[in-house]
Amino acid sequence: MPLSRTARLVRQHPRTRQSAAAGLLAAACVAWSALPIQRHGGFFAAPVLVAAAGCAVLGTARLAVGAEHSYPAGYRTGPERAGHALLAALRAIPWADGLVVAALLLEAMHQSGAYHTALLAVALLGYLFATHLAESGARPGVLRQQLPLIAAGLGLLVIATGAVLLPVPSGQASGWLSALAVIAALLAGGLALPV
Amino acid sequence: MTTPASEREVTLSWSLSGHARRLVTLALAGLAIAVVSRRPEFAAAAAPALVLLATWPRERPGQIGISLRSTAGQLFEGDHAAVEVTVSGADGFSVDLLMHGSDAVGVPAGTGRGSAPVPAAPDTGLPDAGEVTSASGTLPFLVSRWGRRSIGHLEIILRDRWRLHESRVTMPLPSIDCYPAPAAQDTRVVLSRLLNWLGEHASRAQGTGTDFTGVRDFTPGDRQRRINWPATTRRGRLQLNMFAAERSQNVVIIADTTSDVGEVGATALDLAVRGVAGTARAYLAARDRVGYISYSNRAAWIAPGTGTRQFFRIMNAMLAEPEASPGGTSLDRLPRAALPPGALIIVFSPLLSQRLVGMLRDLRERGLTVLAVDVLNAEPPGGNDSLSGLARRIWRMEQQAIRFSLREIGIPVVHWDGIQALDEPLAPYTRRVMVTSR
Repeated sequence: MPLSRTARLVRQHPRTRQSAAAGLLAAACVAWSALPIQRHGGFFAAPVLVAAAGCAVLGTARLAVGAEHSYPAGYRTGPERAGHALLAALRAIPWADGLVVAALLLEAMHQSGAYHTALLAVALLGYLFATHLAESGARPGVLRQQLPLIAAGLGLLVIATGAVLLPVPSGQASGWLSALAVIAALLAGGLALPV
Repeated sequence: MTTPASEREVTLSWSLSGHARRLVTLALAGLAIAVVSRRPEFAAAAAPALVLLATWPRERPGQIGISLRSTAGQLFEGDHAAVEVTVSGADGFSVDLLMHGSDAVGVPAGTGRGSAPVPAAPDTGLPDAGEVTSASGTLPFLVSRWGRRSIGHLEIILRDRWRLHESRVTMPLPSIDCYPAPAAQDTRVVLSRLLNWLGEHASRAQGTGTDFTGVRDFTPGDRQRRINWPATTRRGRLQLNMFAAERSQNVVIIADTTSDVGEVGATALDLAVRGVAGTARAYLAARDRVGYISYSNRAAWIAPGTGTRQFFRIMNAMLAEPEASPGGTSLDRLPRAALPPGALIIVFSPLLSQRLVGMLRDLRERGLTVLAVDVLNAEPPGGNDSLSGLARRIWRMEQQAIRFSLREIGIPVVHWDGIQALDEPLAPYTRRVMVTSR
């Protein structure tokens, strides 16, 4: 099957592929956190949404241009200097951090349930790993050692979300849930200890 | 030929990685929003980041050993080479190598980045016995322009296994000698009068070469295997084949380094040195004695010689050229020591220097056979207005006049654009011998 030019580029250049993955995850995070905002958004929702979208776009652009500073020596014209200054700013500002904060703020602006926040947390975690892989040029295989920890973290997330979703009144079930949470925390700690 | 490895110890300074900073942001933002909004699900959102941050590395190496070695100390333009990097003392840490090439040093796409995974030291439960594991990586590069230059610098990034801490070290890469790519040349200009030394050019004198020149009567003492039997049958008496003697010649190549005009990578000086390299290689392959003169503010020369060693002697002399400058002391006559009598002199020049043109006239007046290769491939910059066009026309006419005056005194001038083989512009002079006369 003939590949389109974009698909060929993505296959040939790992950085392009990883940047595209990070960009898609960023878009998913922003869309997921802003989805119910039409109904429940407050006054600050629109600016925060714009900030989140901007951080997503510029963060992806930063990954695409790379971290290398290879400015040619010698005289540079005004537009060239301005372009280089813009690139330097694009590289210096932590867009991914801004996206994380903006997405969580957007999520806090509506009451969509704990499962919604948990899925956003999973997407944000994926976005952070994709960003790290794209900017360091590493293969996804380098995360193999972290898989137990990631699994432990996600397990904690699921249990905590479950605890929030099942607000059991005082009684035997509540005690079981507490015990389950403690066991989960111990398991997570045990997985982290061999480090 | 590889260069000797340079080893050095580097002190590391560790800092929080960008990945760790982002995880901290996620954890703190989740916890803060959970407290402010009283919604526990945001604390749950911070849980994965907190678990990942809990694996804070405790022990990190403070110093590593780095060994750098280039796979080639000398190479020609366009040749590929590589830098071999060995990192020791970074047990259990991933090592990323990032090469930043200097001017005219290219890093092939997707290859300037390398990684050298360091195996973790085996946990034997015993004190460290001093065994150091090392990791090595190879970073290829390409030098696109001749010269004696630095390859660039290397950035080494160490990360712990959880990628929460990183340390960056930047260090210069070794220098390299890049020789100009020799221009393609298979044919040679051969003088009518050759030295009385054994070579590969057929001379007018009779000898024991391979070029047939005629037959003559057999005289006692001649070798019987050279008897031409068909001619003997026709003439009725013994006839002997005659062959041309094979002789060598002295060739002196002059590179005009007074002017360096044109686009970077294809300047007049670039073309001149590539032409010199190609010509030297072609004549040395024919066992001629080749000398070299660098003509700039001062004249530096290498006496004619033969062999591969002479070729690299000329190459090294070209790399040691001083920078071209318009001023300097006057040098109108080349010393006799640099020019053996009866030598063929091939000059690579843009013919922009009046001193050089005067020197060429002087050489011709001294009876030397001179052939000029014009490597000028640029014009003075200027606008598109009529005045600039007029000035450019006058400049072109001046250049044509200079070349015409040289041809008038018996110095052939051919133009070489640096792209085609040197055989093409020199074809009128390589098809037959070049007569040496005043």
